[in-house]
Amino acid sequence: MEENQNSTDNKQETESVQLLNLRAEIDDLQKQLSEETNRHLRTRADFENYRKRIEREDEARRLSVKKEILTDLISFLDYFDQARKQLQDESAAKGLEIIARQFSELLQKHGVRPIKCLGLPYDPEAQEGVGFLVTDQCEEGCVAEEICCGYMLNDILLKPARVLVARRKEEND
Amino acid sequence: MGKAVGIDLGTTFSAVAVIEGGKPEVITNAEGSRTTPSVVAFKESGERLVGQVAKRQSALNPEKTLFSVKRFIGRQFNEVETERKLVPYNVEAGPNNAVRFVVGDKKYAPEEISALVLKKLVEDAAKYLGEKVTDAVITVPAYFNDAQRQATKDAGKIAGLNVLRIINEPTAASLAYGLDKKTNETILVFDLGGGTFDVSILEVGDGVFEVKSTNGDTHLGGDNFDKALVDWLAEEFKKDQGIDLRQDKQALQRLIEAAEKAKVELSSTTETAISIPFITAGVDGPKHLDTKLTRAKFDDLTHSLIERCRGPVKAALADAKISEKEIDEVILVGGSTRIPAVQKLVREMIGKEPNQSVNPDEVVALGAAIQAGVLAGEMEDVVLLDVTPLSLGVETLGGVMTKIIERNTTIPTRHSEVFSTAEDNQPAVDIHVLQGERELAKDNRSLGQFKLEGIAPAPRGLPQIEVSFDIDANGILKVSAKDKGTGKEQAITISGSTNLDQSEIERMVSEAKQHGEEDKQRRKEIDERNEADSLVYQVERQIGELGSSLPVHEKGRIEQILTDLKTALKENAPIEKIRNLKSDLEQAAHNLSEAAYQKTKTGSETGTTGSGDDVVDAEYEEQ
Repeated sequence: MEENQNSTDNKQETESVQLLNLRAEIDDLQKQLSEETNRHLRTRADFENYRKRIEREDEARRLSVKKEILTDLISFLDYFDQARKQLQDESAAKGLEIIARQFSELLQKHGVRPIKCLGLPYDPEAQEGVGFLVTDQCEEGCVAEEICCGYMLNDILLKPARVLVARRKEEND
Repeated sequence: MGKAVGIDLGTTFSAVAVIEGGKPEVITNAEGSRTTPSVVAFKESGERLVGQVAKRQSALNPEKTLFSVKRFIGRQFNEVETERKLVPYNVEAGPNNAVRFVVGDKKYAPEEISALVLKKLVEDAAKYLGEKVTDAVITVPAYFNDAQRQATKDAGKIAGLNVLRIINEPTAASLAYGLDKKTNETILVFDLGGGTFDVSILEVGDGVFEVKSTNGDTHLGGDNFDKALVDWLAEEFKKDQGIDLRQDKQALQRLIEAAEKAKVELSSTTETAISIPFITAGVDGPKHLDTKLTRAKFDDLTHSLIERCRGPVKAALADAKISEKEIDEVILVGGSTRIPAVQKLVREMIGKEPNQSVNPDEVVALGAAIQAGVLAGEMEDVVLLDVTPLSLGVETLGGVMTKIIERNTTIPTRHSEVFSTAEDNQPAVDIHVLQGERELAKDNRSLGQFKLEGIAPAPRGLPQIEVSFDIDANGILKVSAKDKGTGKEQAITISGSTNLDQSEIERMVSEAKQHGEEDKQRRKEIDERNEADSLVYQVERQIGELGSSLPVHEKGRIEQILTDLKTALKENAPIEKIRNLKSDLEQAAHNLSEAAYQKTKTGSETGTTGSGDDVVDAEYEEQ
């Protein structure tokens, strides 16, 4: 009788230990599941955010490529301008003027427009000041001469204008 | 807590980067650039300008435009005599011999000015990311002392940042290349930027970097290379035309732009043209600059600058007490390291191919972002994911491989495609699973094969068989085929599809490249044959549907072309013949379509006349 009782007790003890172990394993698995679920959700969210950013950046990338090409092209407007100013042959100068105008109109179709700054207050947002010009033809601090024209692509600065800023004659000058 | 970023606070330019999806990315500023000039200016009104806009007005406002502030940060007034002489703005001694910049009636510490640059970088980054940026890792040169590091950290604090750490620029560059994973290796970082040259020798072990030595030249950089070229162009023009272009502001500007452009082009070509039409006007008319510059000539013009890099490298090696043979890795940092002569010097001195796959203008910022990500706990959830080394697909009509999953796709992943039968009443489909990059099935690796049976009788092209490829994170591939009509499904499981030997992968990819053109040609032929076969089937059906409404002579002509084409396909005739017959059949099929349309039109007209019961005349009044 006693032996049977001991055997039963041992069995119950073993079962209790097994139960405890199983509970501990369940707790551990539940914790792991919670962590993995969290991680999965975080990855999904990251992916969604990444996708949204790619969509935003796609437009920015296209604009960037357009900017690069147009920036290279507008340098030719400078050449036309220089040529027009320096050519002594009127007919040749006129011909170049026509080409320059047509080229400019083509660029305008793509949103490129020149920055008007002559006589206006100097603005470093759109103009690079390369020096001063002593003059009373316009107010001090205004653009006295445009060395190189600047251009906007819609409302983005494509190329800043290069300008000389008006300054009054000083005693030292 | 907001985002953590990495900031390369440079002498002439700064950059900011952030970890996104486990990878560092440089952030563009509000002006759309990936780098920001480290320049701050103060207008008469007191308004502050930072970055490109400040740089643009520097010639007009030299005394109030502060640049190269990094040369002064954390230093004592008596230490910076040389630097003071090189800048147009006023530098004086402040409390305890500290450096102060005098701007109007105000005085600023270098850290206050650097803080303005940091603030702009952070604000632009926050706008770009759409969230607050609160923490940062900022980089400094390896030779910075404690005072300089502390001052840089203070600059971060003034900018409102929680500075997670100040790390060395060469360390950041090494992190960007993943060299922290190396054990007991020696790294040489060659940093040639816009205005400074730094050489650093580091040792890495257990993810820890130790600076063994530093050296450099604080006034050597890309600007020197530009000047050398500008001077040569001006001298050559003067010799030729008697005019010094450097005396003409406008001409000089154009010369500088052209010189910079030529320098960049010579990094990828061996010769470039420098053309500036109407650059100036002489007494006899317009003058043009039109010349060619070879890379050899450019190297000759800048030889002395390249040689100036040699001394600091030797000195750094000597200070670290190692020889060049003991250098395990070389990293190039700074835009000027793109110059081939610079790379050649490094290769020649160290005898190793330098690491330059990461953009040298951005590598320091990227490394700083990695460090920031680690410190902010953003790298914890980054799991290293595997990829499929080679494309996976099935064999389709004509013995070609149709790819379902492209190579280098990150796994786990699942892709499906719907196929159909090739013959009328086809009862089963064979699914032959392939791996490889070649166009033809027989040239790729066969992974397994199975059959899906019990497809209900139907004209070819009608049944929808969905084939799915599912690879789990362990690379176990399950391929299943399901008849969408009957719901019947079969599948096989293939293990080890991602466990290929690297040399085997390279061999298969290389073979695919080698045979690329011929494979493409063969595939095109097979596709054309398949298209011809489909056309035959389609036209036969159309003839059947049109029946006696088709004129006899027309029917006879088309049937002759059909027979010829079927024979050509059966006999595997040359593709030209099949192409011509296909073209004839297409033309004939076009006539068939017209006839079919006429038949439909006639039918509908007859229908209208015969179904008057359903038509009700509407009542109306003439106005």
